[in-house]
Amino acid sequence: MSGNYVERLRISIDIENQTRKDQINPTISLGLNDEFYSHYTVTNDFDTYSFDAIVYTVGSQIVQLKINELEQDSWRIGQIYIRDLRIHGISVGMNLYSSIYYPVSHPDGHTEMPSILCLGNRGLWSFQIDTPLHENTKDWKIGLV
Amino acid sequence: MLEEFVDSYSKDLILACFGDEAELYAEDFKITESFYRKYSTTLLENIDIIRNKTIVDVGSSTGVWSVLMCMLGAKSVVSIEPRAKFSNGLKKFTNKHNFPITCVTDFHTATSDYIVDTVVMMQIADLIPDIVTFLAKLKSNTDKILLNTELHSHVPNDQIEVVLRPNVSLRHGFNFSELDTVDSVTGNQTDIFKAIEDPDNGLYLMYNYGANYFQTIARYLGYTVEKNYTTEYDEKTNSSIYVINLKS
Repeated sequence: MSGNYVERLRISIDIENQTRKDQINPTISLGLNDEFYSHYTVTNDFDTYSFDAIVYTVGSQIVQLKINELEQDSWRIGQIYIRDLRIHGISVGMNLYSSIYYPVSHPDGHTEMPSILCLGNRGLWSFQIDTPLHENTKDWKIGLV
Repeated sequence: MLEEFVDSYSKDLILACFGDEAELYAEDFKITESFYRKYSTTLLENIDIIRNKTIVDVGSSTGVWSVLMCMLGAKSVVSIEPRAKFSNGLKKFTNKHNFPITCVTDFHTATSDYIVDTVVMMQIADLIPDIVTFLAKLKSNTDKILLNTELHSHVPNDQIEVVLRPNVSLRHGFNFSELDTVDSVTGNQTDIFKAIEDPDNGLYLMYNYGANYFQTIARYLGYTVEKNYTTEYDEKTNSSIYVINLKS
């Protein structure tokens, strides 16, 4: 591995867009540790959205997907589901349910709602990983071996 | 030799098995301490039953061990893997690099179709139902078994612990009573949504063996355990490695 980084990651998220025709397609931002690298408008019924990130530190990293807020008509932003999360093309499987969703629509602001993959209108979804991923063992593993 | 694997083969094997999304992993792939220990303690340590031998690699997954055994001088390897994603990936890789590997998309039971010198079971025994019957049948197929299986210190010596797990992860087993539900691409029998809606969907049994389990079974079957040693791969994983002679 060249460079002084711990790991380069390619993270892909499958999204099902359940927006009704009279609603506004959601715009999303994807990133790691509050740094958002890619921005998309979710238009297709089902699509894969990816981003690359370089990790410089060993340990916990937070993969994030943000449903962006619109200034007006935000209540009409469509609903999306996360159907899968893959890193380097390898699904995290059932571990997806350990993700956390912080809906901004909640009266208390960012409230944890574990195990819910229906993202609703606006909010921030996060999933913790530990780098370097290829040295993970047991519960969730990436790699040739 | 591992340097040659990294320089010449790992990138193609990763892309063949995991697709284009694995491009960065393929470019940055390196041999980890855990990988090196598995390679050295299982393959290098037992090079005499690999070099110039015909081999079946049961549950070959990505085929990385099949490729390394060929690089170590195996005469030929039959790689049996039920998940088409991996067996087709290995086939694509093998066609490009001309290794003497035959890729078979099938379950462990297909081992009985091949007469070879050595059957290699690299961390697969815990996914095979009725391991005793499987090992008994191997007597007509092979001389030696090279078996690497995870050690579970909490399981009493010659006992088995069974654990139910959902069939959705990179390394998983199969529910053999529902084989018609296997997805031909992923090899999964359920998905993460169905598994939550119906927790019994796609469950498979994982078998955790006690430290003396295979010693006891070998004795029962009239086999000889020529070698048995334990090795630590990382802080979480210890494995027990056996060389079992079926013809002594």
